[in-house]
Amino acid sequence: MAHGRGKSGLVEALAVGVRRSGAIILTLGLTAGAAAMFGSIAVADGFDWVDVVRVTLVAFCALWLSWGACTAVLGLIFGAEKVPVADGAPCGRTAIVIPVYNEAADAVFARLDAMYRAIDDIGVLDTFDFHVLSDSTRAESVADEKALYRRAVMALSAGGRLFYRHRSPNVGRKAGNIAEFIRASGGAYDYMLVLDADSLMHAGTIVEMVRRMEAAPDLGLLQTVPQIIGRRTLFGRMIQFSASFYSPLFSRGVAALQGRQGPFWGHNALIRVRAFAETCGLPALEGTPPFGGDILSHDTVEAAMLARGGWRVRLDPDLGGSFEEAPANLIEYAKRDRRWCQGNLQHSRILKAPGLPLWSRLNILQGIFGYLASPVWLMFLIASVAAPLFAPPPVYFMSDSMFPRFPHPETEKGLALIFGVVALLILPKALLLLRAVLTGEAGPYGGRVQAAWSALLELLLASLLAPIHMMFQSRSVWQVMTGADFGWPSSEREDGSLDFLTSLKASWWMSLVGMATLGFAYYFVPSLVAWLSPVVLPLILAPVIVWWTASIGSGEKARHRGIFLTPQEWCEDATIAAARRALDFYSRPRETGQERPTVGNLAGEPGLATGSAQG
Amino acid sequence: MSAEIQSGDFARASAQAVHEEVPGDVSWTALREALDRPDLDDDVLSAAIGEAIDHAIRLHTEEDRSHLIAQLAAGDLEDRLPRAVVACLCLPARRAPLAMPVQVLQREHTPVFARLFSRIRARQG
Repeated sequence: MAHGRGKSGLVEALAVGVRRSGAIILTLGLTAGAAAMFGSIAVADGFDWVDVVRVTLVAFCALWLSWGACTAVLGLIFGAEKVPVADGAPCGRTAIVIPVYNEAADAVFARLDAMYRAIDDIGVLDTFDFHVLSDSTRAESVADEKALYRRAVMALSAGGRLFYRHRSPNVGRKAGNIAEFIRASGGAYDYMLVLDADSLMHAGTIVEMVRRMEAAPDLGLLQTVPQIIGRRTLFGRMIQFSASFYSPLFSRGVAALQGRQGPFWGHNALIRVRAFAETCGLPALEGTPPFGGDILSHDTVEAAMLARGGWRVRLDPDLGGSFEEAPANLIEYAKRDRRWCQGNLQHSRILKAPGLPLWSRLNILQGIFGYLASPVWLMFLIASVAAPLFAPPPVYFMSDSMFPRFPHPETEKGLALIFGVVALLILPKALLLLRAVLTGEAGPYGGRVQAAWSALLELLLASLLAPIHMMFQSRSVWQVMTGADFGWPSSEREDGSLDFLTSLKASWWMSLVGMATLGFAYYFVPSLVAWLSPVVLPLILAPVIVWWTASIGSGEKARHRGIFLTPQEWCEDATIAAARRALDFYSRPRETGQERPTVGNLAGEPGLATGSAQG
Repeated sequence: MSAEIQSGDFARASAQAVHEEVPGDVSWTALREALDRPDLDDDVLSAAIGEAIDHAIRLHTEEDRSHLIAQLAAGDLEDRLPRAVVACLCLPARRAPLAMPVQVLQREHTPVFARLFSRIRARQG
């Protein structure tokens, strides 16, 4: 489809063009500056081929850091834009689809229950249907889902409004699951709210999204910014705080640059069904995995395909009431990252797809860069440790002079470069914290003092975890490139905590790499030992750090001291609380034959035999 | 698509048993109309109704059951019990197919010159 653009469309395109150009120019300028400074430092002891490698790697890293910093600064400058909203109750029919794949069914149905009742409470249930689309492969998961679906239908009296479907085999994975739903039932709906198994949304947000879509006929997809909830481990609470405190800033930055080609993160997004059906039929890529076969990270590709079809894809960062869960420990986080890594690297096959807008291609490229950044940092570190071995001996006497020439000291440039890199990493966060403290936005994070402490500790903890994350991600890239798979230890504790042995199994190799690097540096370039310690020490201690950050005790301690609090904890959220209450109901034993509490069995008359999730 | 879809499948198993509860000359046509679900066939409806009655409704006699099924078959949803059964029906999703054509994401591996000549030929008619 091709939507005509009026005067306002041209003004918008111009504004977005200026922002994008500004961000790109600033990024390239910072990158060039960093590369030039590092280049002059690197060749101070004489030029050799390792310097070329190091400058190239630094340029790549600086590009990535600068782009992130520019996006964050744009988020500080620009607020959420005013968007059109339709008045009154939604007119179109909306399917709320929840694809599931071997997840804990009780939690899925508890969240569904909370959303269903909340939508019913505001009186617009008539235009919404719920669909649980199961791709589960474990027989016990499927049995659980079926039993709890039946229980949910009865508890909610949701016959004809709540549906469950299981398919086997799960062709095309999650994207195939949703495509199958559209091909079978998509014609009955105008919109579909795509959720993940761990998604939860406010009814008000859902209705607001439908109103916004009804007011914008060219809008193909509307994405929210999900906040992380329900984490208890130290690691989980840290990323929960970080997502809550910082992601609105980065999201506003992304929104300032999006134009008509915004992001899609795969869930907690409203989609115009007709637009999706006509543009987003995903093909399998030629060849075999990891680069061929089903498209794994389908969301970015679908956003690009919608944009290719002339539909607008928009992120509205002002939409609150959108939640998800996240991995509770670093091992689970790395496992998820491994899947995303493969999906994003696979996108290299799609970069040249015909007809994609340039910004969509850049979005895809960003996803690829996000995963290549870690191995590039790692290679830079290796090259830096090795560089002194390759440096030519200093030449003090040139042929054109009888006086010795000493190498030019580059200390100032070195310090300036370090300061610049740290500023790129910290400045956006520091500015956001300052604004939160000054404007009172820090209140729901426990107050100004607690918010400042949380931000500081998040920075320290993230710095401690960064080298470990870099190693996990570099390994993921290596695995995808080579097809190797080193496996993962089982870490499926319900509360997300880890025992030390599991942590050791997952990260012992990092300790070895850290010790080897430290030993090498100590023997060959002792002057680098101090500089390497912020990277090497966390690697050596990786098993302890992974285990400690996965501890519920550490997480609870932080919580009791007001560290890493989020607004949803500061002031209890009604939908989250309802989902928690409903979980008690859906966690009860399934189909025991003793669970038929009679609600409507009045005065000996026949009646309903059903339970209630509201207890 | 080669996927085997099992919509509302858990109820199907008891379809035959429930059919026996329905008088032979009664179909679910009236209920289909009342529910505005012309896409449902008798087997699926029978299975879903049997499931709902077995799990959600406590009936005291076989007569109650026969009466309830007769009410449902007649599409009579005025009484509380038939409405309760309908509210507990585990039905498959509405059948409303929508075309979702598979898109092209990879460029054809046609050599550049071949593409160029084919364009020239196309222009020359």
